[in-house]
Amino acid sequence: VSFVQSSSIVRRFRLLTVFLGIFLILEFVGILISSQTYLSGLKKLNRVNTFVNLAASSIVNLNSATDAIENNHSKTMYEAAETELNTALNTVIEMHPASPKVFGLFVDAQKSAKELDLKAKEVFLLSENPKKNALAISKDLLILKQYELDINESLRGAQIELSKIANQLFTELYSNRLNPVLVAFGLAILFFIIALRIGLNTSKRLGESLNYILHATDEVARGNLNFKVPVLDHDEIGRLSVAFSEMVKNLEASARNERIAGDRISRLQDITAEFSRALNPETVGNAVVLHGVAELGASGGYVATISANRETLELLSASGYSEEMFEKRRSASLSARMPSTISASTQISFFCENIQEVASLFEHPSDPSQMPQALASVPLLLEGKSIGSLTFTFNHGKIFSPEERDFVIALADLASQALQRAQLYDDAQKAIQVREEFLSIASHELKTPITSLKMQLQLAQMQTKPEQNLAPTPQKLARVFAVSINQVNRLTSLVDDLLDVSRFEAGKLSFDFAEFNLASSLKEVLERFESALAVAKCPIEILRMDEVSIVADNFRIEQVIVNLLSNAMKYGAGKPIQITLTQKEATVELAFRDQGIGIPLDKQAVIFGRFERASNTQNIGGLGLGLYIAKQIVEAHHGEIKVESQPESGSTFTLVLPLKPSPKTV
Amino acid sequence: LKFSRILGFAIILGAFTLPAKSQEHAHLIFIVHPNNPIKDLTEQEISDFYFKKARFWKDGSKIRFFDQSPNSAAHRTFMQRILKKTAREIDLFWISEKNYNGQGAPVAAPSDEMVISSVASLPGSIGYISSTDEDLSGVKKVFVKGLE
Repeated sequence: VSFVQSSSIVRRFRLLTVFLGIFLILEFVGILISSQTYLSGLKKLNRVNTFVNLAASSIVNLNSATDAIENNHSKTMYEAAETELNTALNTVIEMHPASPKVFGLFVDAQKSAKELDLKAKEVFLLSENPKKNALAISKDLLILKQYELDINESLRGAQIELSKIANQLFTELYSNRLNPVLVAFGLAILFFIIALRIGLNTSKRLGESLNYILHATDEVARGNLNFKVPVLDHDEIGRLSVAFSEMVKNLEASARNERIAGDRISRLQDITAEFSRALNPETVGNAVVLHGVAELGASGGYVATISANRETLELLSASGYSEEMFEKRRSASLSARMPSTISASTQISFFCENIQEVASLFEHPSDPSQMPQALASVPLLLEGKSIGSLTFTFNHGKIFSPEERDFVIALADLASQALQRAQLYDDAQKAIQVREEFLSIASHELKTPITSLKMQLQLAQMQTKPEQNLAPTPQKLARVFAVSINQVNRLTSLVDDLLDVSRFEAGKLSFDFAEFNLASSLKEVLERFESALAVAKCPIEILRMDEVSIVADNFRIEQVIVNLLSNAMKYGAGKPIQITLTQKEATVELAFRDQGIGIPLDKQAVIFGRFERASNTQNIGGLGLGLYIAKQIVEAHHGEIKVESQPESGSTFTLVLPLKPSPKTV
Repeated sequence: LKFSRILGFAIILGAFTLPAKSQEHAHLIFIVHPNNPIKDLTEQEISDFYFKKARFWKDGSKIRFFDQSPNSAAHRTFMQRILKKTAREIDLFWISEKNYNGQGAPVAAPSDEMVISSVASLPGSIGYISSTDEDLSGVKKVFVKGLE
């Protein structure tokens, strides 16, 4: 809503002021005009009355004039009267009465007065000799009377006519006497009504607007945020109303957001708490799915994780699906075109709000009834790496608000961390298990030579009796020493292995790089093991033996060879061992192939770990450190060690070493 | 309107009484100023002149009527034969006329002789005489229908 600069209240008052000004001018003009009209009427009446008076005085003068002629015979009197009469008549004619009839009558009177004057003068002349002219005088008087009658009639007619006019004028004036008052009064009433109307209207609107705002304030104070204040006018109060509504709206919105955010936070807290209690990935998955479905109002949801070999996506937990669907999704190739695999492999979050968007994520969107109407699928990311995906499906169209999107992403984040934690916990449990196993093996391995050594020494001690001067025979002693030394050697080797392991752990193992002939080293070891090989009944078959020199730590490489050879002897006793030494461009490959018990597939990846042994066969000794040490040594030489094996048909360990290690690492 | 009814009534009344009185005064002669071109008049016209219902001649000059004194035989004859009203009626008429129109009764001359001399000297004048013996050389006699 836009507002003009000056408000309607100010405008109304301004209007009222202007109105007052106009009224005053109108009032003044009105009174002036009506009083002027009245005044001119009065003037006219006055004029008419003047004519009436003049006519009356003319009649009086005419009478005295005729009287002077007929009765007094006084010329002086006559002349005085006659002059008066003429003056009066002339005055009237000069003043020119408006009515033509009256004017005509006065003109007639004047004309007759002149005739009368002539006759009168004749009479006065005759009167100088009355006796002689008696007849003539009486004749003239008769005619004079005729003139007098004419004048009299004219003047009287005029008088009557003028009286009529005066009467009419007076009636008019009298009936109009209240006109100025009426004009003034009427205008005043008109002004009063309009001013009252504007004033009342303004105050009513103001009051109404203010009341609405007051009412709204009460309502808002009571907590009713849905109350709307109507905007009555585009004035200050209207502005106030709009601002108030805006404020309430914002208040409401922020209260709502706060509530939603609070709900979400408490849910996330619940989830976090549940995660912290979850000890394995399945529990974590179930918690994620259940809370997510509840929060989003989804029809179903599932968590899937990428397998160790990063080829398949395994369903961890799901909710809201049929058994059939569950089985279908149990395991999917990571390259399959499905929402969960796409988000897991591309690390992109998908929020599909309708079926068209959903369909675009499927390879064959042939059956829409099988597809959800909307879905959200987000990757589970851990240190920038995808470990799986979290998917929620809806059987109705769904608009994802920013808060909901954030929630799903936050949930996925929490889930990834919880899954990692659960995984770490799982791993730690396993590691503890392995260590305990190692300890039992190690104690057994260490105890065997010590027991043997102790028995030999006790045997020798028992046969040695100084008081009787008795001692074992030299032959016997030689056997005791030979066995003891053998057992001590075994102990030494075990302790050396443990030392090596701890050195690797501490990173303190040092290497002496020098050039040597690998083939002669191999031959030397084989010579050393000749008797042992004979005991194990393992004939050596050398398939290829390239004469090759490498730069490496001779002692450590020999250690690796010994380890591999003894392993082959240990697990492939009674079967031949095939050895191949091949020189490649920049590397050399040394392979030992036995025909022993072999290594199960699932163990092939872990046998190079610490304390790991593929077989728990008790009749085969060993700490399970040999391959771990070998791997560490080879990797320190920037080489690699790998295994190929078929259970029950033997294993091949291949050692790949560079001819020269890169100068950087030396 | 009221007056005209009275007048009408008076005329009818006069018509009944006329034959008897006309026997008594046989002569009534109307004279005008010699310059007046008029030759004959009707009784009604003369009555109108007397009562000032007609005030001007055809040429525009003013009609000036000379009556005779109310006691004269000529006036009575004139009243009976032309005006066909009683003296009282005539008096009332003039009182009313004077008040409402300002008109007064015509000037009355004392004798036939005075009528003749006045008519002869005043243009536009008209008068009546009862005597047939008077010298009418200075005036002009007009004929009135049904009067001879």
